[in-house]
Amino acid sequence: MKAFWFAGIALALTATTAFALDAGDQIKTRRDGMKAVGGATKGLYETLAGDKDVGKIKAYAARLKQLSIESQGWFPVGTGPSSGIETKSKAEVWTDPVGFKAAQQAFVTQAGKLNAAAASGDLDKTQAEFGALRGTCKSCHDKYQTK
Amino acid sequence: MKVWDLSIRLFHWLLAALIVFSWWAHEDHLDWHRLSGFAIAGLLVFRLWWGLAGSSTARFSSFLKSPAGVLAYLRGAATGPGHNPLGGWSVVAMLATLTLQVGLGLFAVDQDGFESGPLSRFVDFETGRLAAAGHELVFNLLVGLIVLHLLAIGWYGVRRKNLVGPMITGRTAPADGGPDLQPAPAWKLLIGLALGLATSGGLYMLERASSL
Repeated sequence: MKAFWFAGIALALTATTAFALDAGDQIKTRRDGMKAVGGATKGLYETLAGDKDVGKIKAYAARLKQLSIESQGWFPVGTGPSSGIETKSKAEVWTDPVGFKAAQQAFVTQAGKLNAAAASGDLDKTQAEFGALRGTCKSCHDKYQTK
Repeated sequence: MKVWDLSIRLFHWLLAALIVFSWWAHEDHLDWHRLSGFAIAGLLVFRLWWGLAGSSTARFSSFLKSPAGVLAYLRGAATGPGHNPLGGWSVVAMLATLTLQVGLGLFAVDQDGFESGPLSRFVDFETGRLAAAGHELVFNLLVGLIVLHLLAIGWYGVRRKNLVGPMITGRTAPADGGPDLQPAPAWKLLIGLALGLATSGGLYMLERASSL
């Protein structure tokens, strides 16, 4: 019985602490995630413009697809500018949830197309989908991110 | 009397125009921004060479004075034609800041990883982002120096010393006294032009080789 209470209190304390740290941690997760996206994009760009190593192209494209799916969890409520923590995410991310969801979905869709093209080994198609992804990134950032 | 040779005047006005153009192009015309940066890099290399081997008023050794020399000028000591001791150091500050600015731009990467300087492939994403942040920061320093430059021109203008005219015509009132401009031989000019063009052209080729 005693152990049960201890476990309960420990759990409650952990939950409280986790909640307090939450916004900062979540914003950091978002930032690190976006850096990973930028890193993979840079890598893919350089590979397509450079040695066109198919193995690397496939790996970068798969990484971008994976990150696009993960990115849907990077914008929890309470991690906007009103959290008081520095973030480039505009309040519109949360005040325009329909528009933002669509933008997120566009990222997942386009990264999926890119990955499919890369997996097929078609370099021209990969490059075209990569070019389209650039527009996907830009349109969302123009709308939902401060300069 | 002659004070600025044609090279220095062309350098000056091209640089001024390209700085304004680079600023205009930095958000939505990054292709042009990069080209403008390569051109500025070439101009800077030329100016460095001309500061070592150019005509008399272009040479660093002719216008860089010790702190004591600057102080003496501020107390009213006379100087010959060309940069005064204070202006000379302002030239160095602007050239050094511009060199740093161009250098940072070559390594800069935008946040989405699609736009970058031609040397960014030699650094990782985070380093490229740091270079981009530095590029933004140093721009403010550059603007500060340009504002000082313009204020100084205004300050002398109010005191009836026209600095803009000589930078256009190359000539100043003989009342300034001092030795005449000693031009550099043509072969030195050709070396300077070759160095500048090689710099801009090399960067352009690097860019072509590393972009989709």
